[in-house]
Amino acid sequence: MVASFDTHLFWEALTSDPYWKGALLALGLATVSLATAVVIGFLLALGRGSRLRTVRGLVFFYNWLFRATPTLLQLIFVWYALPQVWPVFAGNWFTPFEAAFVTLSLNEAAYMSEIIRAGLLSVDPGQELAGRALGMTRRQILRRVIVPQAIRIVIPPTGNEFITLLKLTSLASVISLHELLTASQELAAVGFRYPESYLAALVYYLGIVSVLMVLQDRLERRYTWSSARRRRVAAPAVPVVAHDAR
Amino acid sequence: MRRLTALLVPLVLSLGIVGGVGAAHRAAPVSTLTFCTDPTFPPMELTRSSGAIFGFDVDMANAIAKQWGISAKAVKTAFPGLIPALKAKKCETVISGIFVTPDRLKQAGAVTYMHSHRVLLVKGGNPKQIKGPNDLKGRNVAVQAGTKYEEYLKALKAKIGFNLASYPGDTDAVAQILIGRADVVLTQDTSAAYQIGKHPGKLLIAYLFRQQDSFGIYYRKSDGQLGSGLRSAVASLKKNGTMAKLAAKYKLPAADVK
Repeated sequence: MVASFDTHLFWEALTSDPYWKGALLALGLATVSLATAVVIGFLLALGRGSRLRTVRGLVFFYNWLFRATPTLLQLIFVWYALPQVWPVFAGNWFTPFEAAFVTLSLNEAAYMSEIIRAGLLSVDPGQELAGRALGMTRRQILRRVIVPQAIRIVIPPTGNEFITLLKLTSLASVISLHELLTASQELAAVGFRYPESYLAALVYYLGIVSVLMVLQDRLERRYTWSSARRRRVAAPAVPVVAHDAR
Repeated sequence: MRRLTALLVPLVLSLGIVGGVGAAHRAAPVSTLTFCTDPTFPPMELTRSSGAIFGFDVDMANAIAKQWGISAKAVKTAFPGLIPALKAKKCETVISGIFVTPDRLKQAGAVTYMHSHRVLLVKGGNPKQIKGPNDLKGRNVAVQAGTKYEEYLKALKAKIGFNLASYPGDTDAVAQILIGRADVVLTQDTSAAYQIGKHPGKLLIAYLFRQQDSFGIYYRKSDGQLGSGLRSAVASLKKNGTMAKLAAKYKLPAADVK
């Protein structure tokens, strides 16, 4: 049944304008959403360790709300339900892109806050004490001691989140955002050529994620210090031992 | 002789019964009449709050199945996936208020059962003064994705320019007017009539396209027997008044199903 695959149509789809624009839109949406989510997530992570009980409670409530409900439901809620409560959201200024951006940012922030919290917790509390002993302020300790070390811990799971977020942008097709999945659905609906139309979209997603993985690797190396690099060299020895033991 | 009669009588009787059944229900070309449908196109097909699918098409499928002495079963499918689902044998037919068009006829066979018109649906009172397709210029237009409506609007958009948003369901598109986001929705008079009935005063048909569209039942081209069975079944439903009765039930013009 290989004969029923139209290679020409596949290439045409792969190089077509709607696919290219859809892919850029998906990547753009994922990028700005993740950037916003990191900022909000960082504040949430700090709030989680706050001395004030109300702040801790609010952060807990936020994370609970956004992690316990499906992203698709959140998108549909923002697009369909919000304008019925506040007609302002029916205005032209509130585009599908903005709706998707707001939803995905808020949603992702809940996950990012947990990741960042883990990163902050990974730095030994003794370092904070040492910083204080050197006369640094809380803010200085955070900026110069804790955050630079936490970043190393945070990068791999954040790369994970970026990939997830990129794929989540396809959900925005239900709120009429013209992203990559919509482009492939449209092509499929016109010509009824499903294998070619969807395989082209698949190739795009694979391509984007591959680039993201390379970028993540670069970023990880950038935040690796000499001591860590030594550990990295020593690392292969561990699986070998484990393998022998088995 | 008596023994022979004893043997023959049940045989003849059973033949008679089989013959009788055959006369009442012309031999069914399928064991169950499964039909793929996108239940977001009232009153042709829509979903009850319980999740059950109902509407004109569902009643018609049941009437056809009844003729054949079998039952009908709906297979819920998104609109753009209807014909592919048919080809992938997820269902025997597609009955979903879907147009009979040349490019779809290349993919599958079809039996026409209804004629209707496309309309431009707007907010009650027509605040944007839409009087025809050319008035869409610069407006917010919503439509169901993967439909002929969308295809037409895309071509029109390239010509006069407006903001086009495509939604998964026809009901989603109509909802955009009710929410206040869209100015115009292109849909069928059948759907528009239903929605106006559901939201009196909030919606209005601003323009009726002169061109007539045909709704059809699609079947796989390889199932020629099913195709001819459907054709005669629809013809007899029209003849015995069932189609007119269903049209009345869903407040559709009887002329559409003649």
